[in-house]
Amino acid sequence: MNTLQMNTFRIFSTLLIALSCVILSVPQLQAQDMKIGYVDPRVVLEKMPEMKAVQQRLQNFAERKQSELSAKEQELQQEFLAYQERSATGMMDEEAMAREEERLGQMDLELRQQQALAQQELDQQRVQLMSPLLEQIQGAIDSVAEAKGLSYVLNTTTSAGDVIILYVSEEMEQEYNITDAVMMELGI
Amino acid sequence: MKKGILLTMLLTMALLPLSAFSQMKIGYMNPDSVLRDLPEVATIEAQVQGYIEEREQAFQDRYQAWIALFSEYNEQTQQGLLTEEEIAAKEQELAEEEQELTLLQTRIQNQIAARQNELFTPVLERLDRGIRAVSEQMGLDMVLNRQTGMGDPIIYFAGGQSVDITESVLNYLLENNE
Repeated sequence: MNTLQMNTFRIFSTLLIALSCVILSVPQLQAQDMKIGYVDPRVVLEKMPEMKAVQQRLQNFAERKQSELSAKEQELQQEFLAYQERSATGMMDEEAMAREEERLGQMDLELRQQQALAQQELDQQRVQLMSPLLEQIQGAIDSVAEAKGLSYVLNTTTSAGDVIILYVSEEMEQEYNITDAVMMELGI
Repeated sequence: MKKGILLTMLLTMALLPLSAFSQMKIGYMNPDSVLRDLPEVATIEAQVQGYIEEREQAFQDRYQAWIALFSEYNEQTQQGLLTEEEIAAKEQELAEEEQELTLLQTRIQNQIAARQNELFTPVLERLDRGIRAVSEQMGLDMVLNRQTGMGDPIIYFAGGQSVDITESVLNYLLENNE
């Protein structure tokens, strides 16, 4: 080989190496980038000191609503019994009975509406009280995920109790279950 | 000589992506479908159904007794057979029994849930062991649930290289009846 050929060969081979580096490193990078972590938010929530206060407040709210409603329910029951008594003794004519039944039916409907409303209010209260806690958890997850270079962080279980992650290998568990790390980040 | 080195280098580099196989292997499955196809689950479901019917019968008996009591009271008051005091006492009795009925209903619901739990726990544990065994055999790092119990999809799409282990888990459980 003469010098020129030698140089051309060198340049060519350097280019080839550089090119293969680029081509080969692309899928490799992608593969290494795909790191998936996971968190069980229920474990984190249970450990949060604020959670006790939230649960207490929700319970108080539910009990208050419940006692309001059961007073109304008893009232309705008494009215119904009184109506039954009066109609049994034949003290009411058809028209009066129909009016009374209509009135009791209306009361019953209102009670049901109030029950549904109370449930809605309780749900709203829960969302309102929980959202600052969930935001804190999200923030901690973001920090841990960034530090560990994760591409995704999955939830293990939905709030309805549905399992999302059915199995993880032991090595995976050690490296990618970031539940403890998230709690550490939160200082709990 | 130089060509030899270059070739070796190129070969090494071409082989490098193999190390990228340390990438996560993720499988998925539908555990509900495995449960549906396990013969023991049908037996358990029949047991649960039998228990539900038995408990509902217990409630019905008590409820019919209350209705009989109420009709008797109604008739007696209509015929003017009862004094004010007796009416008050009867009403008290009826109200108490009604409360008992409501409590019984809650108790029965709890009993049914507990029985269901008790009967299903061993099979769910067996399913879990099956998933673990198959995943280890296949060298999977993680197995995701395909959908929620309500049928909402968790995984909308799984490409060609993805692994559905539903069949393998079912076969493992049918073959290993431990």
